[in-house]
Amino acid sequence: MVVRSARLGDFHVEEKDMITFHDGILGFPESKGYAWVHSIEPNLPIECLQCAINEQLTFMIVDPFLFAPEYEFELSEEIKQTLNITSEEQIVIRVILTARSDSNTTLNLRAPLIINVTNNKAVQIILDGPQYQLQYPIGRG
Amino acid sequence: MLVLTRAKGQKIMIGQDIVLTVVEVNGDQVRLGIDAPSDISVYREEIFQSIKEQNEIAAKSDLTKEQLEVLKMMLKKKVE
Repeated sequence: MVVRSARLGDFHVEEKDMITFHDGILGFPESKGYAWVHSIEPNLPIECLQCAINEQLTFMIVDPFLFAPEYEFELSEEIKQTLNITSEEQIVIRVILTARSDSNTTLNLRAPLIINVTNNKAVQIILDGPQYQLQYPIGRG
Repeated sequence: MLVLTRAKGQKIMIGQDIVLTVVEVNGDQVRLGIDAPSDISVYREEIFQSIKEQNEIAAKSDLTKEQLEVLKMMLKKKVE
């Protein structure tokens, strides 16, 4: 299918790269379907989620373990049930990247995205604890 | 807004399968127990708001060339 994107231009996406967020991404409950674009910058592991119904809505996402190797959390049974997760290999974790106007780049380690890559169901969860920073800094430009 | 008075140990039902219990009252703090189906998300309001705001900022943000360069350098260092 063709997905429209103000940021990336219109592009073709295969069914296997369409992700459905059970409750949407927090703050955007009406948008559930996103196209997962695996590379938007050459030589950089930055990916994109482009909303399928709102061309203005795009999130940059990254693998948090590339930037915060100490990052870890326990996935609750409820979340595993919601996403029909039966084995660990099905799980991919991403976090949302924010390029801030003060030129800092931060990751939201507080609210990671949990994706089951076998059925493409996903949720954004909220973690409890001071070690999970809402604005984890990963470099100043 | 519906306002109800409840005492410690008393409950409120929202629909047929969400139950709030007043667990403890201590000065101006109240501890609530929440029983809800697993597909209902329960958040502390201020934390939900902060995540929502962060998501909204993220959705509007775009990386500058300079920021991209910094990220490239950082990842390079980690690999080395």
